[in-house]
Amino acid sequence: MKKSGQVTIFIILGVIIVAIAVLIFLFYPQIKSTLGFGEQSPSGYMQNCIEDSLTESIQKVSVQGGSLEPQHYFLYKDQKLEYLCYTEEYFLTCVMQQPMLKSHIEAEIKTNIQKDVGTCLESLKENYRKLGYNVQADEKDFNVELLPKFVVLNLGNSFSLTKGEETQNYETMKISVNSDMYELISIANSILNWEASYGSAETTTYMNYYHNLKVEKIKQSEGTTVYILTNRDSEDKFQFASRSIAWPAGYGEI
Amino acid sequence: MIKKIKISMLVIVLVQIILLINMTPANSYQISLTNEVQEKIIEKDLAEKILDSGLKLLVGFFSIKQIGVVSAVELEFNCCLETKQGEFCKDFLKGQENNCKNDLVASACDKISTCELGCCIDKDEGLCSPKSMKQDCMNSDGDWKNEESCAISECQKACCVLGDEAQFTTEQRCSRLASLYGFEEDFRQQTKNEIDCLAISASQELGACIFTGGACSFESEVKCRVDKGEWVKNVLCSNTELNTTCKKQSSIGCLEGRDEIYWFDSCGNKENIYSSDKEFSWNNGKVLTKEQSCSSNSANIDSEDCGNCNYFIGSKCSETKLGDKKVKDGNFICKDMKCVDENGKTRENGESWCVYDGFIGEGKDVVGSRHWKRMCIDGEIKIEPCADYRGGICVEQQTNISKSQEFSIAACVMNEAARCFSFNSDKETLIGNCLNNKHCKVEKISVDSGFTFEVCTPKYPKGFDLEEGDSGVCGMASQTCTVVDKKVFDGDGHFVGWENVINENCEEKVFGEQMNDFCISLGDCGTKVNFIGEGTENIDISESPNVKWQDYIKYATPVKGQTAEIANLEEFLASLGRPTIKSGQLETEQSQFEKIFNLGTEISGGIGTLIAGAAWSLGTMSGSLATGYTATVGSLNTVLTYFGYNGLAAIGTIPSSVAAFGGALSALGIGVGVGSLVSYAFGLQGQATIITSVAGGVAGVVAYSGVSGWLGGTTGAASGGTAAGGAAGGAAGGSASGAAGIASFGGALGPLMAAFVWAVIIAVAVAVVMKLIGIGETREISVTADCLPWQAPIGGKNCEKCNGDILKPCSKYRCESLGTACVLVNEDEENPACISSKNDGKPPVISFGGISNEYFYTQNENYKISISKKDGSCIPEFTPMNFYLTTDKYAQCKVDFVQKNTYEQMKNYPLEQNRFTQNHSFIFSMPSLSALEVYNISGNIKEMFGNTNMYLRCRDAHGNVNINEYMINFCINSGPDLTPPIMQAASPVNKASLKFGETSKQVSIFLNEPSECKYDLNANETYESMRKTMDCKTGLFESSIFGWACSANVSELDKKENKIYIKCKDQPWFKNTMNESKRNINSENYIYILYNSPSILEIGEISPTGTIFSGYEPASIDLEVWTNGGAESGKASCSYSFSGSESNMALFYQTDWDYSKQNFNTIMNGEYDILVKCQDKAGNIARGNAKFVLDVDKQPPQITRNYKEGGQLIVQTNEEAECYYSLDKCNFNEENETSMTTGFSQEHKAEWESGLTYYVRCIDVWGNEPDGCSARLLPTMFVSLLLNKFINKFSI
Repeated sequence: MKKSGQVTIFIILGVIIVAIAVLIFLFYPQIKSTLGFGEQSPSGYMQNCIEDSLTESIQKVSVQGGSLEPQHYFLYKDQKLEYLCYTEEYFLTCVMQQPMLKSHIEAEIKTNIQKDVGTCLESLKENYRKLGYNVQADEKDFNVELLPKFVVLNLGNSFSLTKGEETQNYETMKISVNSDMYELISIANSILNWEASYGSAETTTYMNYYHNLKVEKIKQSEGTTVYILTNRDSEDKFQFASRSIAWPAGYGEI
Repeated sequence: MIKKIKISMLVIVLVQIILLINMTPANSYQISLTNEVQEKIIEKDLAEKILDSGLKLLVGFFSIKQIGVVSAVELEFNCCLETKQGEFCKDFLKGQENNCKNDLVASACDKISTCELGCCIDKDEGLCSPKSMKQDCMNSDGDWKNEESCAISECQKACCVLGDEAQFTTEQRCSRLASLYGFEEDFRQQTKNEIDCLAISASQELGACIFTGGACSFESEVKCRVDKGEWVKNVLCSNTELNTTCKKQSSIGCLEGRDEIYWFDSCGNKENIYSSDKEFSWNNGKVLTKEQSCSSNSANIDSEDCGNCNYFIGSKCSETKLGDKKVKDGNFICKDMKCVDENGKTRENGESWCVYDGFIGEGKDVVGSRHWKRMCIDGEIKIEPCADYRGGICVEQQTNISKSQEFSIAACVMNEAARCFSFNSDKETLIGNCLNNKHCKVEKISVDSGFTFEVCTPKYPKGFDLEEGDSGVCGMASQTCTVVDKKVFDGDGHFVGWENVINENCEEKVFGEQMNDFCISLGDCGTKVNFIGEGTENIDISESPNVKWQDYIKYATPVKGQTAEIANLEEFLASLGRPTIKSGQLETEQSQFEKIFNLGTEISGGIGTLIAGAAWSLGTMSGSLATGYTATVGSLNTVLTYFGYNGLAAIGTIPSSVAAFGGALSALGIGVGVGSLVSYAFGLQGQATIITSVAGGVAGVVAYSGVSGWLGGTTGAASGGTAAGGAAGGAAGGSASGAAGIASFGGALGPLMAAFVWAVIIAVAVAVVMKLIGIGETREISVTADCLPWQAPIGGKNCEKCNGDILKPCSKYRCESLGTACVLVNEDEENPACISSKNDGKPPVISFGGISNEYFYTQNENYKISISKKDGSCIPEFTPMNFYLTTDKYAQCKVDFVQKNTYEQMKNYPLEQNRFTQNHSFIFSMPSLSALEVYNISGNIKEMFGNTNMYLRCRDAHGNVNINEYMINFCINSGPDLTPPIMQAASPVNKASLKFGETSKQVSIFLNEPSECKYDLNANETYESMRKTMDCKTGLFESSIFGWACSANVSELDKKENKIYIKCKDQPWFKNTMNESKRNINSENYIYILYNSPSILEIGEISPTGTIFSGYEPASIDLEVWTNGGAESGKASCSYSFSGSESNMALFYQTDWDYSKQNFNTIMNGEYDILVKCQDKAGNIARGNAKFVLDVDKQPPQITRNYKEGGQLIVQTNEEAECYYSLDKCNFNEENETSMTTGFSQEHKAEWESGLTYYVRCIDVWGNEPDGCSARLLPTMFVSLLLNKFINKFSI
């Protein structure tokens, strides 16, 4: 009796496993299709297509003080860190180099992904055409916006996909990636204000106020200070250089 | 016989050269000691000399920017709007090579609108950026305001509440964030600091936000309202009474922005702080505060039962890894955030403390050392090095957080070392001011009664660039102590020996010890060690025991418990970015800023003066503070100011005559010094010493004069450059004009070297005569301390000791302090490496570099050259000869006139002193001897220099030294004085202005040699026919530091332009003798002009006055003064004082014109009476007061009256305001409602409609507004004052 009961249980389990396997088999192609182009919406496609490039751009400008190709920089660990506040004089507080830091970074990211956005849009149209759609696109500019917890790419392009009698219109597309850049820039702005006003920012204060924030301050002999801001949770980073109230060796130059 | 004497004299000369070439020239006080011993005078003189010397700084005289402005005008700066490297608005000197992206703009940057600095506001984000350039800001669509520090209402921060979060930010940003997060704007202006704001965030009440269908979100009421849910205060979503779908305590985890471990319900909502006692934690589905949660007084580190972590006492929620300790219900733990420091001491999270490389303070900080701030952050020790070269000082404050536990807070603050020097400018206040500054100490030199002085020096001396040298600062501690002995005779009048009169201790070890302490307290000077305890000897003590670097090894070991003192608590707190106890944060921040700015000012002006002094003292080959020039000059700037050159000094336009004059004085100092020591060498005393010293001095001056003339033609800088550069350095503080100082420095050396050489010759000759005739009853021994820049130990065996400690990363300074061969590589890395350069094992190869044009050198054989005129003859009199040698690598060289066996035995350095360079320079010259004919000095001295050899050896950074010397052979001639006297300076300066109404003036001119002078107000007079005779100092002993003075009280100066014609006649000792005809008279007049001030100087207007209104504190105001009249149509230098005391006035930021302006942006509410004093170049003075009241309006506007008029509702406010109304609520957004005002006004109108309720809110010009409405108005037919009152009573 006991044995027959055990057998029953095993049979039931076997049936369940088989059923699950069948279900997976049946639904697997559908799952797969959502990973490729297939029936994706244009915005889904664009998200997949541009996400890596956007993330890479954000990371690139983040570690270079907000610039793709820093012009006026301090070389730190082989990385060009843009001076966001600078004076070459001794004893003086620095002058802001990028007072509109957020919009500057947005512009830099935009510049960096411009080509990829174009390529993705072309690829999107081509793929829909291959699927038998008549694609009509209204070419417009796009912009990049830093927002709390996100960086958003707003594509102004509107799409019209027609297949047979059916027409689908897509007005705007938003592609977003997770990023703490917005918050880090806000902290950077505060640090830079200190640098411009008083010459140096006290980092422990920021960390005591914001426990998930790590602020590293590395002073160089010639007066430059490298700041590295890191969100401990997301590990997003923003680093930049500043030179303010630098002290010469000794008591000054002759 | 004669030949023997010549040879022996030559030997003596050469020995003396060796002895003296590196010594500090004697002071004038030495002379006063020779016959009459006056202890008090000696002491006083010395102290005053120290005080007045190169240490005397221009406190607050020039601001950095002012220097820049002056330089810009005088030096013609052009502005580059953007360099190729991306720098904006950078000035370049006109014609100077530049890296500008586009063409330069023909104006200094600060004159160009686009380069103007102000506040840039990101209108969308509400972020403010101070010190932003107009062009940058506007190009990026920023809103630029002409307020550099952003002290404007748009940038005032307060607390912005966003749901259950809060941020301390601007109102605009609050609005932006509110819209981004979907909240209503909640900007709380009354919360003025970040801590309070964060406290609001922590105290936000949360509750369950219930949605249809049983969904629930745990959030704030505000957010719930936005989400359109039903909010139940202080209740968890899992509360069974709510009937939500959320099940309690489904999981645990950390929460972003929080420190504790939390329970989460099945919907993912945060619940209460984790406790293994689930029921306690759940609290019947109600919110449990942190304080009510488990073990709230503990950090609960590694607790398995309680997740009430506490960041401030050392723990934070952290996810655990396999095998780690964790709480019972999940993989999380309150992680220990404490650290263990280098001494094994436990440090709390957030604690910071100071670490030092060795002993600190008392002027003993070791070379290469740095102050380090360390922090314990999340269980890891982080470092924050203070500014290198000890530009930053780490200070620490400890607080008891329990009976047995301390908590340290450390901060890097600026090292105020330079300020210490400035306190020496006033002897009366020196001690008090010095002791009041915790970064300064009083260095008391008390060797003997005649060698005692006090000087304010840094407690934490700054480090120098070990590669470039010290800029001459070390030379300030080069001092000479004169030991005076007198003859003792027995009863029969026979000489039996010497008895000390004064300063005998100078010959003891204490002299060297005290002088070295003084020397090392100035910076990286003297004999001391680096941070690993290796040292070198860099103070040269003659006639007294020297000090050893080994005596200072102990200072390379940190002293447990030693920390730098906090200058003041407010500054300390401000450096931590924290509000102070008694004042607001902004106020303290500002005071710190002012401190930095003022320090910069002092450094700028002050160091420049130091440099000026240093340039001169370097010119004397020893860098002495108490040299001939310092004997009376003190600081060069003082001289220049005295001579009316205070303004010009800043821009390097001192006439070369004045400059040369100063040089001659230095030469005099050299000569006197040489003479003194020659006297000593010959065992002379009393008058004999005087005569010998003076002979040397005169020779020095004469030699200088001759040489500087030559240099003027060859270098373009020469003597003029010397003073100009020095002065520029002094006034401009190492700014733009400091460069002139460098250029001029070389120019100074030639003449002074010549002075030295010639002084030796003459002094020896005179000494011989004096010895023969036996003059003198006292003798002097000059004990000297020559303070040189510190040099790293030779080689690179210790370079690696800079590497390896990640908590003390190496830097260029640290690396170079370990050895001359140490170099830093990978500077851009986090931990750069210090390595030894490759040792090729070869000594430096010395080559001839170059020589002045008219000379010629012949390479006799390898390492041996001869120098002569191009025709092969000797170097003629009055003519300097300069040349330089080169080495194929950086090397330190020494020179001698006698062959020595080893490099170490050689004592004298080339002009670059002990620095490692590739060019090694020398200058020689010969002056006239005729001035000494009065003393019947005879003999063909020139023959002694008929064939002179100079020997040179060099060593590289690894200590490889030339075995064979490089030999330079040359010969010199000399001849009679054929030059008339030269007027080198005047007081007041030529073309100065007299005060209004002044008709007579005491005038002094100063000449390069003793002379007699006359003057006349008519131009066409000969020397003989001139009617007025000047009172001239004609004795050899009567020179002042400026030369031989001729003075007269000139009257009848009643014209607009008063010309005084002066002629002088030299060699007064030939007066009425057969040599009268040898005297040289100026063929042309010196025309000395004095102008009269056309009117008195007046202050035309001062602003502000009366009452000024501001909406916030601190307010920014401009103190403005308009002057007119005086010597230069109102052009004047204005100062201000808040205390009303004229002894403590500060110069306006923008002044020296007929308009002066100073901005203050820390003005707080209250009454002010600021004393303003303006003085023009002629000395006309005007005084005035800026009396005003700052009325800070923090109150919202009040509605004083409302009534109906012409069918309209009229509302009146007590101040100008903008009023809006809404018809349905008090809390409205003005932008969406109706305005009652056009612009700001006290009267506001709306359409009268009975029966409606007008919710009126008024905002004043400062942005003050009520939290709700200003008034709720109910227009009815019974409008009366009484009703208004009634309505107002119900105002919300």
